[in-house]
Amino acid sequence: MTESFDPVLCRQLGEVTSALSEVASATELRAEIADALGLPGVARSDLYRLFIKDLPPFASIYLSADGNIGGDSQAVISGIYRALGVPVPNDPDHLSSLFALLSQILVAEAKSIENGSEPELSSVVRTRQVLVNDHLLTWLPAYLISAIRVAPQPLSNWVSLCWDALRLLSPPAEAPGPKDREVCLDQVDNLAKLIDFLTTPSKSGIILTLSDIETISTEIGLAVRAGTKRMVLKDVFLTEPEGFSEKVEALIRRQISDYISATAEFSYLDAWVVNAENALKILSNCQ
Amino acid sequence: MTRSLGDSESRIQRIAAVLSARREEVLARGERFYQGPSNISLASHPPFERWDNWVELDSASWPEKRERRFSLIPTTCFNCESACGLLAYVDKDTGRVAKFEGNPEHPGSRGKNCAKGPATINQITDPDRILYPLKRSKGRGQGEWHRVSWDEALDDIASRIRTAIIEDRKDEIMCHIGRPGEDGFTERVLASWGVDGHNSHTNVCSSAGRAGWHYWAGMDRPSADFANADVIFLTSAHLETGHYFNPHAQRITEARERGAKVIVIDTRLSNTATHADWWLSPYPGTEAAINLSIANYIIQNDLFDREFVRRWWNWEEWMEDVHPDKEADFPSFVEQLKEVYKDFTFDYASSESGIDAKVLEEVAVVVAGAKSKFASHIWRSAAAGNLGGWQISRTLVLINALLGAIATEGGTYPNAWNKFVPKPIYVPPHPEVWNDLTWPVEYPLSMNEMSFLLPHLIEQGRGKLEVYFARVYNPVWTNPDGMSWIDLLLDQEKVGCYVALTPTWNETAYFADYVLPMGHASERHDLASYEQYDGQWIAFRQPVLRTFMGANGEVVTDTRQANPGEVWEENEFWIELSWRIDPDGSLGIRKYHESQRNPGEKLSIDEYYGFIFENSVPGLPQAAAREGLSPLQYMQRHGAFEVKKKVGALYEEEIPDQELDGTSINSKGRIFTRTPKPPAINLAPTGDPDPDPEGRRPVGVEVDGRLLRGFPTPSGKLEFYSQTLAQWGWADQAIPGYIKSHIHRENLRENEMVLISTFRLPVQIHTRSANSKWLDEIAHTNPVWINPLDAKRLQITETDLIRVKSEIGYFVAKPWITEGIRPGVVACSHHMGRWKLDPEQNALTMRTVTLQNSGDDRKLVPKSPPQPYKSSDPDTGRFWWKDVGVHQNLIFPVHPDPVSGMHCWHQAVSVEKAQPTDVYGEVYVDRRASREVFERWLEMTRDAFSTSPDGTRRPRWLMRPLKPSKQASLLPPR
Repeated sequence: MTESFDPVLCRQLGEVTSALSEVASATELRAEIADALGLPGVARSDLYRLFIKDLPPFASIYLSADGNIGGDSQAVISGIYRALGVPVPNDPDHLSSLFALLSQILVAEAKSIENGSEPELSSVVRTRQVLVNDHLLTWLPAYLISAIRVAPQPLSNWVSLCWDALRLLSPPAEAPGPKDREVCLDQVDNLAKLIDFLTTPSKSGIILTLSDIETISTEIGLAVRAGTKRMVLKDVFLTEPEGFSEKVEALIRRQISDYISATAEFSYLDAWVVNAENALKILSNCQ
Repeated sequence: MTRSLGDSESRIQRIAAVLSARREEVLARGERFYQGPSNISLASHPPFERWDNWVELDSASWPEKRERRFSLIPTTCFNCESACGLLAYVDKDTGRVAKFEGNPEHPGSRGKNCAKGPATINQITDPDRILYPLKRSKGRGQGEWHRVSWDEALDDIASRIRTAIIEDRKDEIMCHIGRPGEDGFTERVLASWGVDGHNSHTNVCSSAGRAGWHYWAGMDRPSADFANADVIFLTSAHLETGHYFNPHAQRITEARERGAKVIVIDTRLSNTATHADWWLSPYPGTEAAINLSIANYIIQNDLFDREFVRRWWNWEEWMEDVHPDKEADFPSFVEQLKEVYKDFTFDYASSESGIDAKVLEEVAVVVAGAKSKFASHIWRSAAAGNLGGWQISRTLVLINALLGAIATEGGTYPNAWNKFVPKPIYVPPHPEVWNDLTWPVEYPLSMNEMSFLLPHLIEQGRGKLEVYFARVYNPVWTNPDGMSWIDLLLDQEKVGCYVALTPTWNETAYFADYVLPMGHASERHDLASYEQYDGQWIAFRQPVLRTFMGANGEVVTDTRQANPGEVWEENEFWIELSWRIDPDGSLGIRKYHESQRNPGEKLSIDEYYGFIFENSVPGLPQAAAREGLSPLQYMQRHGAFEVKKKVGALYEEEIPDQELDGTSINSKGRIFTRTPKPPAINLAPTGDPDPDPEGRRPVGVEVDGRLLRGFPTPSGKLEFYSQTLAQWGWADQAIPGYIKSHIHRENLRENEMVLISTFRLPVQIHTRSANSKWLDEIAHTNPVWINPLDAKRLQITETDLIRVKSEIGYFVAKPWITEGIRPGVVACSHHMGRWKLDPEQNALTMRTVTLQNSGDDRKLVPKSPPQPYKSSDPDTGRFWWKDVGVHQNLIFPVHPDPVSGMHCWHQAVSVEKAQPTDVYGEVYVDRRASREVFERWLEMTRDAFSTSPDGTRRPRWLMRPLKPSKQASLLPPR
């Protein structure tokens, strides 16, 4: 039995994910779309701040072993496009591309239901499940939890709409999360490794944004330099290691708490909790 | 996020309903609602918000991680004509430019560049560039120079110009512009002096391509909407080197990804041809026959857009003038249309072009199927190669016009609608003089100045020059018959003072009296706008270090303060020179170069551009205000501004009632009005049709009872039939047709072949890209392409040298045997073969030569290849190439097309093994023969005295740089 949605809901989700994709592309946003999504006064600088500066929505940043764009995790998602016969876009694992792909799949699903074509429907539903269950759910809930924290106010509706869409797309009885997963125990014995660890969400379980670092630095009386996140982190750790570490620990605890409150809906967050708890230990050892 | 699942669902439903409704509304307007994923990745470009403080690791310090901080300041590339956006990375510690990359804020190039853009860093750090004003020490061309102050040079030049103006020798002042890369500044300077002294390179470049468009639409070039086309038809190597190729190539690539088909007509297997779905390699000069066979297929099978043709072609004029005996209705027109083109069958086109008739038919079916999504492009290539090349362009527009693919999504726009030229602070009046040296009476229909004939016209005693500027232009090397230019420049009786405005040494500058250093892309101010998609933008070229210094609190009032040595920029140079020509304002010149803010003071560059950006660019002040910037600051920070997107079919625009006071409508529906012209917002040049006999200006055209804007042509419609051509002596060519080229098989002698000499190399751009070490390493020679069948017939191998002989001389080159060229044709790129006379002068791609003169014999004899040398750049000691090609243009006689004025570049040549004493790179020219060819082509003209229908020198409505006053446009007494 195919676990398909109602065709009307498919089309509605398809419409909304298209619009969410437009926002995430961080280019100029059509006024009609901003109005419909309830993003009053959203400016290019808001899009820049969330999607370029703080939380670039590339899956590979949150899934890869080095926290960088590209690599295996990007190659995996490219495979989905190829399997569907869709040209692989320049940024296949960017949320804008993923939502655009999801929207196409949902519309195809609606059509298959309306046409009564069971084999075609099975195939489309399977594709949607792979994209959502095996891919988006592994990182997007954690991403959105951080987005709630740092998104500029005009984009808060974008975050909550993504959350709503993801809830509706999640399987009714979600597959058990990898609670017994081994924790990545990299040896973190110097500052460079600590910075690498903290900026690699798949290992640390936390998402530390530039805005987070700026906020913490301001709280402990530091001015923030220009440069990449790694450069900025290195600077503040060298200048004020203890004060900064304490604040980072507090942030990790807050993220753990946010993850736990959402694990009932998105069980994959359990793995993020495990890793984040480990990060607390590592940070404490480093001190 | 504590809503119930039901809440989430109802929220999604509600928002989806609103989105769907909005989407339907937007789609109904023909617009796209969702743009799709941006494909803008973090890795592409630094986001604009971080340009003030961009940090990168220094690649040269690897593996050490040394940080460098940059200010990213935009400017515009000055190499080819595309005017792509660049970002200069100014190192905050050293205050120097470290590199150039693409400017993602530029709407045309969208952050992408070809190799020539980033190579700007080679040009500004070139150890052999000219840094100070130089004056000749010995006789002209003898090669000794001494440094002078700018004051000394300016005073001498200004004094000569002032005297010539006072003595009414205005025709003796001329400024010869290479590729302008700016919109009208220099023209307005010359207009302010009251001289008709503008000379351009256009008649060795694009006049024929322009003419084909101009006679149809009153606008002189195509702006193809490639990104949205279904079929793309390129008469050129457009993806790699065509006009605006980088902005166009990226859009063609997008279209191909969508499934658009690409058809390329190019005798040579260019990189573009290798990417085509159909590559047609015709015998050169037969492209119009191919176009007409496609048009004929569309016509005979009634596949044309009947309503478009009925409404927008000036078919009534053709029927009235040419078929007065027929019914003047549309069905009769269609009947005559079928009749006039019926002989252009695929078989005929095949017999002319050598391309299989079946292939031509296949292509015609694809073209016809594109309907309004047919995007075509032509610029130089075939149009620039052939006698009658302008008809190749005109027949290509015919296909667009048949399909209704004019100003449609995916079709082809006239350029002026996709270009924006803002009104400057001053617009001096039309000069009261007409310069016969650039616009001689024999070429009344020439699109541009007969620039390449200048030495011949002066040799005939038609005039002389007191001051001749060549502005970033190298006519000795670039123009045909370069030896005639050397003869001219060596004669001080004919050219009193030659001033070379150039960043680097070139073949022509060697013969100058003054060599004045001008800035590269990041060292000068200019404003540019070019038609690259259906939209309008402006881009700001700026001296980036001046902007950097200003942002850091330094007061910079002169670009020389920021440039290396005493390198200047033209804008400030022209203002300063104009003040020195007219120091007290008595000549009426100075007022056009004075500050409006501070009367009596010199106009500053900041005021000049500040005025334009504040007053003449719709939307720019508002965009700037949103960022808390002045409009000038906005352009300094962003480098470009998109004025309009999706301009659409302006010819269908209704004329507002307020423009319709005191109107008259002629029998063809042309509407004239007494309402004064509203102030123009966009000064992009177009045709300017004449008023009616009562002096009303043309304002539009009546079509099916509606009063519409139409086209800037005399009829207000697309002119399938050009009454202008008919009335000015060319009735036989008044509709799109096929002219057999001067290199048509019928015109070749036995054993002669055709030499295609006009193709560009993707990484070079004539002499503009000189001294760019990266580019020179990639491309530095130009072997002659020759088909294996011809090589076998001529018993030539690649180890041989060959002699290529034209009507006036020969050059000695190396052959490259390749199936990339069709049999019977050879090809040689014109970017190579640079030379210098001074053995001490350093250059990466110039061989040292001597020039030998004996009577009319001229010979260029190679002495030594370029050698590695020590300089401030260690790379000059590492360069490895010795072969710098051959200067082929020297052996090309002038071939002025009698209609468009275009130099017809293709040559009938014979190719043979070199003689034992021949030296690679050697060139011989017979100047007597060069004069004879000029005289012979002059005989083909139909001069204005015998053809002008109204006593004018040239149809007033045609575009012309620096158009003289109406009075000055009258023919002189014979």
